[in-house]
Amino acid sequence: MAIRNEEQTAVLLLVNPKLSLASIKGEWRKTTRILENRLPNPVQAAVVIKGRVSWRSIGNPVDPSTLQQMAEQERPENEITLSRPDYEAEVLKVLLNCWLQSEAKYKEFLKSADTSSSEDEWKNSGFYTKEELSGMVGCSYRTLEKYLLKLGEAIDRRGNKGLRLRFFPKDAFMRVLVLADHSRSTLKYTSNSLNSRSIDSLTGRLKRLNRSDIAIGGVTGSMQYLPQLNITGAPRLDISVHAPEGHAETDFVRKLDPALKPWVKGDPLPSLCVHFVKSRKAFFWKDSKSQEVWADPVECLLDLHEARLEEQANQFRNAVFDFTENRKISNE
Amino acid sequence: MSELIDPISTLQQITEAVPEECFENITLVGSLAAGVYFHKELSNIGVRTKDADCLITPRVEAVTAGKMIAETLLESGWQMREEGKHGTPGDRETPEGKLPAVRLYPPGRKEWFIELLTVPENTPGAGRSWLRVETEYGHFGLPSFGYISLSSLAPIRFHSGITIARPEMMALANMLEHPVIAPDLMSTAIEGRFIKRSNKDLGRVLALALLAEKHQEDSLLSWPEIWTMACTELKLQDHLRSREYQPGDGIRTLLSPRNAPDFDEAYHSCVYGLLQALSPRETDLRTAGERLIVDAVEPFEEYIQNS
Repeated sequence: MAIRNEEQTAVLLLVNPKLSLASIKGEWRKTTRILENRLPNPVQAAVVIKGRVSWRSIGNPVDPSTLQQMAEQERPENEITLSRPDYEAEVLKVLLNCWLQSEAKYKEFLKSADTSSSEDEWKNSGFYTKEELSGMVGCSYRTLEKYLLKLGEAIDRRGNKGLRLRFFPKDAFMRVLVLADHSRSTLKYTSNSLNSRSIDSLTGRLKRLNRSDIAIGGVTGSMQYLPQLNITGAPRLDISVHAPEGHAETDFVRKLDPALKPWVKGDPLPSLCVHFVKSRKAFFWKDSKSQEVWADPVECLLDLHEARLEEQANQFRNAVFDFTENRKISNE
Repeated sequence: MSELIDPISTLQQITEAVPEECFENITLVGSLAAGVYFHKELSNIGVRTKDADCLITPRVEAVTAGKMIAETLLESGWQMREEGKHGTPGDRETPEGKLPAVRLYPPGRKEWFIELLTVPENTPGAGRSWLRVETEYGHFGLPSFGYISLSSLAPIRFHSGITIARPEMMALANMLEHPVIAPDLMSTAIEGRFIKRSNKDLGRVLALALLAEKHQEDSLLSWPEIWTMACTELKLQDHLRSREYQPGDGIRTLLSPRNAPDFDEAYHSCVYGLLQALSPRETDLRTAGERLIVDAVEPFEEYIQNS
């Protein structure tokens, strides 16, 4: 939000607001009624979303291109605005993570996780109320219900106790997979140096940043859950960034290696892929020994598919997501 | 155009010629020292240089050690370099600023020459000054300047001979010496081009960073700690904090897209100097500079501000 002067007119500029346009217009009507004749100069408002003017108050004399320039100046360096969350994907990812967390096998994977601060998150049986789930996704109750219905019999509903996944919903996951690049706003980087940094170097640097909102995924992350993953080494580093507010800064990429530049078609394969987790809650966890922050298995699985490591993705999915107990339930 | 010099055999030759009792006083600095340290990265091909700069420390012993080294070499048939302004030894009447430096060619060779330097008295970043050395062959001067004292800290003993300066220390000395790109040109051309002294020295910093990364991945991350210890040792913190410029401002200026001609000069001095054996692309040298800023300069500047 910013106030700028433009030929004696104060302009309230809202850049990528979280409120809907209808709400803003409503609030603006109320505000102008209160301010009417109380200010020496007229006050106008404008909304810029993703670099384009979406609304200007009636009589606003500032032309759209000037407003767009002003919005651009307001943006912190290296901050990017992400596409709106794909709630179908976010709902499924949250359900999968909640389901996994209730499994003994998953707890085994996380022996070294630093969970002392969030003990309650690890104790339940995997059943969550819709209120809890919509809070974790960051969507409305109605939106949640819409996508729960789409998941059909994959949802195990237990009345007041809540709901959880009954089995791994392969078809729904495939839909998420197809749109994953867009829904996760993936950014790819390649090194312009002949002396490219190794994955170990990049992960070491990430650790030094000490950021709890950035987690290691991809092959490196998957091997935390499945050390026997059939691959000799990570071809690139995949990281997940928690960005529930719809925007994120990418200055940390420079800290990993200033030689990393945005990847364009025709470049050598990317050496770094950054994916954004847009749900309100991220299921990252910190290894208490190594202090590394790891992405959840769902992000790791998506990363393996995105890297076209289909054999490894299938191996990972079978090992991590197909539990004996769930097979039993799904066969009932 | 000068020939490629093998740094290892040059160091060996100097070690054999210099009196053993002076080993503790002498440190090889400059591109030959870098060439010795990074001989594997330079594929043992060598570096393009004319001078083997040897720093005599401590300053209180510089006159005695300088005299002993100069006399020993001249007695062994090393020849004074006669090219340039001050080609003959001075005498008692010669003002210090006009004294010739000790610049000597090995017997029967003209590919390179040894040059003796010393460290400044106290003031860090001071301009060039001369310390008189009286020998049987006449009077010479030992030049000292800027932050060269940093190059003498924690040197590395190569085999059992004289020591070589640490690359990170030479980089820091050069970086602090040039917080801006000054217009002064080098007195001699590098492959046909007269380039700015600042661009040559700052280019050297980038070359050292490039070689260090090639030597060992992530090695630049260790530089700020070593720089910090050096500043504590020389009590440089207050001085650096009081300067108008940040320690890395010269490098930033060089890397700025607005200063492409300066960067080109720096690149030219590297590919026809220390990095001739590698022939890096301009992008690689620039990347080395950007990595240096992130890994070493920014943490060091933070330390200076907060110390």
